[in-house]
Parts: sequence; structure tokens; C-alpha cells
Amino acid sequence: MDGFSEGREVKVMAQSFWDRITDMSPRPLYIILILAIAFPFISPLRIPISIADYTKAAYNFVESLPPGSIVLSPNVIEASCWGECGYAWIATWEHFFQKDLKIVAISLYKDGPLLCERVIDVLKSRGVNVEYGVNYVNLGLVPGFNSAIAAMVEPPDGLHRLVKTDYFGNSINTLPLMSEIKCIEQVDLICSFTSGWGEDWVGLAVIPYGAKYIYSCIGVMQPTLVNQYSLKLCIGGLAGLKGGAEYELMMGNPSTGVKSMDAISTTHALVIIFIVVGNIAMVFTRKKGD
Amino acid sequence: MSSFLKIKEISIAICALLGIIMIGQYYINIPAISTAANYAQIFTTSIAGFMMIFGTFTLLLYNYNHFKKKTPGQWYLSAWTIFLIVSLATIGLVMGPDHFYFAWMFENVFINLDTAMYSILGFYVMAASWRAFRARNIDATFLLVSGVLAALVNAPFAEAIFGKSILNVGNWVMNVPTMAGLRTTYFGVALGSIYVALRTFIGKEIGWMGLAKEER
Repeated sequence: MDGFSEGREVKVMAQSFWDRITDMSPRPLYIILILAIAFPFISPLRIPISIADYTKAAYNFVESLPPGSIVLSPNVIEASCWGECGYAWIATWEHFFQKDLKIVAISLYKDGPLLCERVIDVLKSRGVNVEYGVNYVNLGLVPGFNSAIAAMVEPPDGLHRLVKTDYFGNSINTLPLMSEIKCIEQVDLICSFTSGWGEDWVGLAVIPYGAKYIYSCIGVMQPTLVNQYSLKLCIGGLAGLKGGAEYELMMGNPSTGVKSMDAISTTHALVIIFIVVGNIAMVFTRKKGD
Repeated sequence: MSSFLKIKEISIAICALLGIIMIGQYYINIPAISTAANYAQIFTTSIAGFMMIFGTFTLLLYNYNHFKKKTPGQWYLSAWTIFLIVSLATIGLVMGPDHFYFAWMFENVFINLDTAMYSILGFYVMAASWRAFRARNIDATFLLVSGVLAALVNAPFAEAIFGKSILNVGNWVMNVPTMAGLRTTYFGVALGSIYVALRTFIGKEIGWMGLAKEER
């Protein structure tokens, strides 16, 4: 074989390699992804996590609240987002109970009431003192989204006009905590958990009544949180799983949220590697005129 | 036909009246308007509650029809759906939402299945990053670079490897170009909402009534 033929041979082989990469079945990638998620849980990487300004601001505001302050904690969240928002929810509520704040939970989406109970179960298993009706109430599901928010914040007694019983069917008049809160005027902080934009409360409670507002959203909604934080429409917030991990670190109580961040690192690194390899493959397989 | 038109106009009139009340309470401090608006909001929550019940019955009916007709590839899934709806509703209504069985089903079945469905997105992203996220032109390149920067900002490994500088670049992308686009979108949505609301109040927008094209 002369030199010219050898060169052609090598070129054909290289081209077919990148072609094969481009046309590869995604199944091996799925296995690599599963391994990338599982590996950090088996052998933690302990990569340091920096804390975002808005998470610090949320934490510092909760720290500044006097004991006995009332937190209205609405949620618009699906059970499917538990992995993303659950740790932020647990961390913030744990902080509220540590600070002797009182939580009034209300759900604007069907999965909410049971997710609230799930958070409470986790906190009780950690030894947090939760007394139903005294420092915690679950008002259950109130459908209607914006209309429900507008109705419950309305002075002088919007919440009592809208909600008559709690999630378990008790009249709210029998719950001591509910005698302390009638509408937005008695609320010291709104802490919302949402899988959406989180802006309903800005338009209906923050701007008209000057309510203090923090919220936790899923990671992809981080730009909306940054937007509201920069416009001072919210005190601060937690963006997805990372927000939960940051809050756990600020509380000095690193838990599952922090452990999960290693998996976030490995999977994000994997995505970037795949993008780079995919683009190199595109360059090598590009035909003239493409 | 005339009676039908009458109904349509009544619907538009009710809609316009409620809209004016809801907007009016923001700008006019008249107690009667505020009270009316509050009642309207509470009515809305009641209607939304009825919609959930209505949706459940519609779902049951849809699946019952499939089950009755023995639709190939569907009837057994419909039977399973009916069984789950009826059993969960029965446990919740009869034994209460805090009963062990109801909580157990939610905690150990529903949350896990729902989370698994959501996490399937991760596999799509992985496959897309391999095969679809390509810098084919200048627009796609910008999108790709900003996407990679967003991924780097949110993953702690990037700061550990590249230091604070990568965070600064990522935060700049988030705070300047992303924010500009986001706020423009907000303005667009707000203006569009006002436009659609005004069209609805004056009867130009009647799609919400669910009328067929020939009935409009």
C-alpha cells in the first residue's frame, strides 16, 4: 500500500468513528447517567458549595424575626417536584420551628396538603417540636390560584371568610393559632413553595399590602427569582435543590440536600462533556455545503 | 337562534361586570365594590373546587367508556385507573385524609411514581445534549454557550475547578442578557393580558365560552 492509500484509509476510519458516535443509541448514555447520579451517594465527593446572595438574604430575614411571628406558607407544587424542592421546604420549616415561628400552611395545588404532612413527619423524626393548632396549622387545599390568594389576603378577615375548616376537617375557630391570623395584616412573612413563577404573591400581597415575601422555586425558575430579588420584590429565596443545600449549610445542618449536590455536579459535568463531544462529532461528520 | 344570542350576551355582560368590579377595587375605594370583589374571588374558588370534581367524573366516564368498549391496548389501563380513583377516593372520603392507608398510598406510591415521571426528563436532556445541542449557526452557538454557563453556575464543581471567575461570567449572563429578555417577556405578557381582557369584556373574544365556530 502506498502512502496515499494509507492516508485515505485512516481518513475513512476516522470519519466512520465520528459517524458512529453521532448515530449511537442513547441507551449507554442512560446507564452512564444512572452511574453518575448513584456514584456520589455511594462515595461523596464533598465539593464545596458557595451560597447565593438571595439565599443568604432569606436566611438572615428569618433570623431577624422575633419568636412567635406568623409565617403564611403557601405551596403551589406537585409531588413530582419533591426531589427538587423538598429539601428546601424541610430546611426552611425546620428553621422556622427552631426560631419558634408559627406556620400556617395552605395549598393551592392538590398535592400540597399531603406534602406538608410529609415535611412535618420528617421534622418530627428529627425531634422538632410541632404542636398542631399551636405552632402549626395545615389549612389544606384551596383551589382557584390567584382568586384564592386575593381572597385570603383581604383585610379584615379574608382568610377566615375563605377557609372554614383545616385539612383534617376541624373548624378553624377551634385552633388557637388561627385566632392570631385573620388576613395578610397579621402575617410577618410569606414563604411560598412553587413549581411555577412565584409571582402571584408579589402582585396580590407584596405590592398592595407591603408583605414580606420569600419563596422557593424549582431550579429552572431561578431567573424569575433573580429578577424579583434584584427589583426588591422579594426578600430572598431558594432556587431548587441548590437553594435547599445552601439553606442547610447556613443552618449548620447539612443533610440530604447537600449530599445531592454532588450528584448535581456529576450530572451537569456529564451534560457539558456530552455537548462538547456531540459538537466535535458534528464538525467531523459535517459534509460540504452543510 | 335569538334565544341563543341572548345567552351569549348575558355571559359577556356577566364577564364584563365582574372584570370591571375586579379592576375597580384596585383603583376606587368604595366598600361595596371591595365586598363584591371579595365575594367574586370566593365564588371563583368554589367554582374551581367544582371543576376538580367535574374533572374527576369526566376522567371516570372516559375510562369507563374504554373499559365498556374493550378498546384494544387501553381497556385494562382504564380499568386500573378506575380502580385507583375509586379506591383512593373511598379511603380518603370514608376514613379521612390522615388515615394510614391514604397517607401510605400517597407517600409510598404516588410521590415515587410522580417523581420518577419527572426525572425521565433527565434522560431526555442527556440524549439531547449528545445529539441535538449543536452549534449549527451563530444563534445556536449563543444559546449553547449561555446554556453551558448556566449549567456551570448551578453546579459546584465548576467553581471548584475554574474558581470564582466562572461564577462571575455565569452571573453576568443571568443578570444582564437573561434578565433583559425576561423583563421584555413580562411586559409583553402584561400588555397581551390587558388586550385580551378588554376584548373579552366587549365581547370580541368569545373563545372562552366554548362555542363552535359556526355558533360565534
